[in-house]
Amino acid sequence: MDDSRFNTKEAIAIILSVAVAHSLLSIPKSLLADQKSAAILNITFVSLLAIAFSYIIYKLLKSFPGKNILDISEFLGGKKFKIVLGILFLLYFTFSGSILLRNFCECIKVVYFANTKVQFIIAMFIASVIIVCSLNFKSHIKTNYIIMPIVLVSMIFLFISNLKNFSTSRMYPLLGDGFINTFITGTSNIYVFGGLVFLYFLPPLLKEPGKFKKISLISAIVSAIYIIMTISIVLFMFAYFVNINEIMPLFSAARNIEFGAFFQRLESVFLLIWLIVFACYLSIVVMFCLEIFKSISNIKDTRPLVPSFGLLFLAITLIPKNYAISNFLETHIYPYLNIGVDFILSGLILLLANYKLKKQR
Amino acid sequence: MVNIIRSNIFKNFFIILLLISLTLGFSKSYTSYTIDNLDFVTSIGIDVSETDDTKLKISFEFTKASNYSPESSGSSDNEPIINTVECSSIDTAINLMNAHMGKELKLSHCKLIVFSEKLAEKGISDEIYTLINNVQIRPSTNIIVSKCSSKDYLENLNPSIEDYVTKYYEVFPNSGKYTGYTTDATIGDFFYSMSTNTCEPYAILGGLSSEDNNSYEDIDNIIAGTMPIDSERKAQTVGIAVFKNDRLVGELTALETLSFSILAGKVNNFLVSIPNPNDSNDTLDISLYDDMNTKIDVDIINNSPYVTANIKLTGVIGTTSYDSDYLNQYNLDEISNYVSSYLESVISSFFYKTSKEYHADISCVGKRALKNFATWQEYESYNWKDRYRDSFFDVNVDVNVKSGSLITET
Repeated sequence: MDDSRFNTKEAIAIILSVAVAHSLLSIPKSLLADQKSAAILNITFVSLLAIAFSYIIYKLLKSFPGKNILDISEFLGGKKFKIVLGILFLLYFTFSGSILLRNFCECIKVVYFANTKVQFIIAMFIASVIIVCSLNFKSHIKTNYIIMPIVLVSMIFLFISNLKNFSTSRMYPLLGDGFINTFITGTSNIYVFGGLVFLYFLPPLLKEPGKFKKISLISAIVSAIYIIMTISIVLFMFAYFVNINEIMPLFSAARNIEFGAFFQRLESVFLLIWLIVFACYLSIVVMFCLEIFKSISNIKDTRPLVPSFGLLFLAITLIPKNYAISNFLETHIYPYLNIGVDFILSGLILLLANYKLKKQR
Repeated sequence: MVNIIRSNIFKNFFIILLLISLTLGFSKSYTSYTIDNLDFVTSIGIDVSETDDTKLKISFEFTKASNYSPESSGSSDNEPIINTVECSSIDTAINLMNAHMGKELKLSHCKLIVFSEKLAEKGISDEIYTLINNVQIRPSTNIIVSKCSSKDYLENLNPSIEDYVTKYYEVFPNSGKYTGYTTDATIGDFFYSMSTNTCEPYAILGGLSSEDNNSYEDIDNIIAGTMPIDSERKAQTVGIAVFKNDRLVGELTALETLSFSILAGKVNNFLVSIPNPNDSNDTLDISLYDDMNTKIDVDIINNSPYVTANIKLTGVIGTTSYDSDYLNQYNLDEISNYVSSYLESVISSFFYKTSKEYHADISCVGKRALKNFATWQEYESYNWKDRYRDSFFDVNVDVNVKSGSLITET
């Protein structure tokens, strides 16, 4: 039983994988379009909120040791409520994972596989997820744990090697579109910490549940550092954030790395790392979908369901007619869905459950 | 047992089927990008059509893949292969050239893009957007604006002492780091400058030397094509082509380019010649080293930009004659003050030329002005690009000439 549980570092890597996957595509673009030169100020403020929020989640989940949010919802509203919430989370995970996969594959197609149909690129990811999840339930968690430090190091390398292209004066005007946009309406950018949603499901999966506080705080802090670094790279390098939409800003940053005439074209290495990260992210999302399905349906072994879920992801991924639609879904629908499910709904359930527990005592 | 065997057969069959379908799916991209199917473009020249002003005349310079094999030797194999096509856009030109060559053009090794002066004056935003949108074009590809036709320029650019033309195209802007008379101007920077409202783009200025150019030309006035050099290679790259948005509005001489390079921190060391304070008929050549301490600050005073530039340089005197005394502190101070005044005047006139004459902030002073505004709305309503012409400049150059070189006193 313990073999299927995660240690502290693996759990942190799981949460970080969401921030990394989303940062490759929409997060830098959306944040810079929304906040302009105030992006760093805004994301620093939002990071503080996210760290505070993760601490609140820890506090609220502390009253229900070893239980995930579905178990807590059952305590709050009964079995039916648990099923409804489970289905809602299933829809959320499949939607966010599928749309991100579609956009990532569209970008890969533009960059490297111009003559390959996007369906084949998507199928490659789905096949890898099905194989990995079918072989060993924990193998992708281990892979994710190995790849995350590499991603962090690569991002530091990307930052340092582009220092010569940085212009720190681009963080001015400091308030961007104004105080209200930066600190009031800009708080909606907390969706970039979408990985915190996994905190709700982690308690029963941890080897050392006592370290949940450490996991929630460290994962929020590391995600914050990573996102701030990502935003800094794009903001300091590119002056065109007001009216230009480039498909993969970090890829563009990687293209600018050159050390003389001998050390060039490093974007291929970055892309290789990002491909692995993305496969890991996708398999983690599928894994949590299976966990949710297991929880609401009471089945014991979810492994036979892996191909079905893989094909479900494939089907949803193919729904958008083109990149314009999938990009719209990622940049305009996903953030609100994320805030609604991850922060408002889940937070309310935990609050009410705690209230009910207090009342019972 | 039978079930396990069946399950394994099914699993293996599934994996094989998956591998075959993925192989088939990705083979299209693989087939396209093998060396057998590609022609490597090393530079592109873009010009206005001679017959129709709305059309483009695009030249592609190719290299033979065999030139890069270990058996290849000598520059005789590396004569430029330039093919030209007239059409309405760059993408159409690539398409037509693909059909003509029988192979697909590969632009990922393209190191240079040359625009003719005539086209640059009309505006090159469409071409820049098309090129930057092409995933094969590197953002580090240099842009040249040639005073002649781009094809003529490319034909005369082939280096006589370099075997590999791509290598030459990559390194030649580096001479700006130790002369300041030219600078690298990449398509990435051009695109970013064109897209933002804080600065204006610029390109390397190129031109062909003519037979009557071998007379002495003062360094103040040298631009590409007028360098007094007699060489087999006629193409010269000196100076900067100044753009306002996407249109060429002027050019900068070697000395003005040096000013730009100092302000942009693009020159490590350079040479200036000043009249000898002790002998008005003689000149002193002084090597100056950038202390990497250039600071540009902008204040908004009476609604006009007030730009302050503080530059620190260290110098070594290169000229030595029979009565040199570079251990005398008084002499060194006198020379330092003279060089400071001289450079202050040169850099100020560069600033005023870009501001009053060209109205183009190619030094990105606008970036430094951002801190004077609390919000983007304030900055945009100030309209920096138009207000740059109202700027006042205060240039302070602190030169510390230390000594002579190997001989300090004669």
